[in-house]
Amino acid sequence: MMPATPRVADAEASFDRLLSAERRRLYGVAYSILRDHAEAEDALQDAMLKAWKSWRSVRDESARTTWLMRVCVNHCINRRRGLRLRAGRVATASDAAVPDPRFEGRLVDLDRSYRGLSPRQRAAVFLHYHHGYSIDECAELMSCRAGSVRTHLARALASMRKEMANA
Amino acid sequence: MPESTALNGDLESALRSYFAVTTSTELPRRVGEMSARTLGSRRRPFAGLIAGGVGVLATAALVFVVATHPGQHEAASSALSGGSGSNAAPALSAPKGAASISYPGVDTTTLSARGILLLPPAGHGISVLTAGQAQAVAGGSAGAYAGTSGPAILAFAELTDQTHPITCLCWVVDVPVRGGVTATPVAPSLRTELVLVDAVSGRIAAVLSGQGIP
Repeated sequence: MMPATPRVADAEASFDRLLSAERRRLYGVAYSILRDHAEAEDALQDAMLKAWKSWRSVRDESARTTWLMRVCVNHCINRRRGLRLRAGRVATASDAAVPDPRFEGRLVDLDRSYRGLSPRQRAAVFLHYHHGYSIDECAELMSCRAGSVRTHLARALASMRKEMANA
Repeated sequence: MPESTALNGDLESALRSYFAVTTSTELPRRVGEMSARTLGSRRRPFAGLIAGGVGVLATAALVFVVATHPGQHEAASSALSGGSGSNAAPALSAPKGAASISYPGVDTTTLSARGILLLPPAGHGISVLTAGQAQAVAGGSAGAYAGTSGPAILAFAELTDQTHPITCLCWVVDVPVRGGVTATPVAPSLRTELVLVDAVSGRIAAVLSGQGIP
C-alpha cells in the first residue's frame, strides 16, 4: 500500500480527531432524526464520507465542528425525505408500532408522539431542547430560516402536548 | 403572532428523560470504528453490487479449490481475503481519549479534569441490572433524604481520582439529596449526587458530588 502524503496524513489526522470527539453526538442526532439504528448508521457513514471528501475545503478550523454537524443533520433530513418519496415506500423500524421496551409511563406516549413528528421537527426539537442550540444556530444547522425553526418547534410541542394529554 | 416555543416543566422533564434514554444506547461497531480510512474504503451501492457479484464468483472458486485440493484451503482463503495482517480485528476496549458520554446537567469536562471519565459502554460487557433496578439501588443509597432518581445511563467509568482506582461498567444515576435536618425553618438545601451502580454486581461503585455535578 502506498504511504499517505504528509498533507493527506494531516487531513486524516484532523478529521479523525474531530470525528472521534463528535461521533457520539453525531450518531445521537442521526438516530433522533431517523429513529432507526440501521438507518442512522448508514446515514452517518454516508454523511461522514461526504464530509471527508470536502474536508480540506473547510479552512476555518473553529467552524469544522458546526460544519460536520450541519452535514449530518441535512443528510439525515434529506435521506428520510428520499425514503418517503420513493415509490413503494420503504418501511423502517421506526414505522413499526412496537413500543420501545426502554420506556415506561408517560415516556411511552412521548415516544409515540416524537416518532409521529416530521424529520425537520425532530431535528429542531433535538437540537434546540436537548443540545441547547439557539433558534438561529438550529436554522444554520438545518439550512433554513429561523422562522421555520420556530414553526417546527411550535408544531412539535403542540403535537407532543396533545398526545400526552390524550394518553 | 409569534408561536410559543417555551417548554413547560412537565414536558421539559419528560423530554430530558426521553433523550437521556435514546442517546445512551451503545454505538454500533461500524460507527465506533469510523475514520477517514474506513470511510475511504467504503463501497458505494453500485460498487457494492459489482463487488457482491465478484464475491459470489470468488466464493464459488474457493469452494471449487477446496473441493479439488483438500489441505490447501488455508492458503487459498488467505489469498482471497488479501492477507490477514492489514485487516486485524480492532481492540474492543474504548481507546484512551474517547469522547465521554453525556449525562444531563453533568459537566464531563470538569469531571474528567477531576480524574473521572464516563466513557461509552460499547465493548465492556453486558449489564445484568436493568435501568430501573439501578435507579432503585441509587435511590436507596441516600435513604430518606433521596428525591426521585434521574435517568440511568450505562457507561464505562474510569475513576482515577482515588487511592484505589476503579474501572467498571456501571449505571450512572443522579439522585437529588436533601441536605439533612436543619435547625432553622428554612427548607434544607438540595444537592445532587451522581451514583455509579456496578452493572453486574449491583453494588454502588462510587458516589460523586461537587464540581461538574449540578
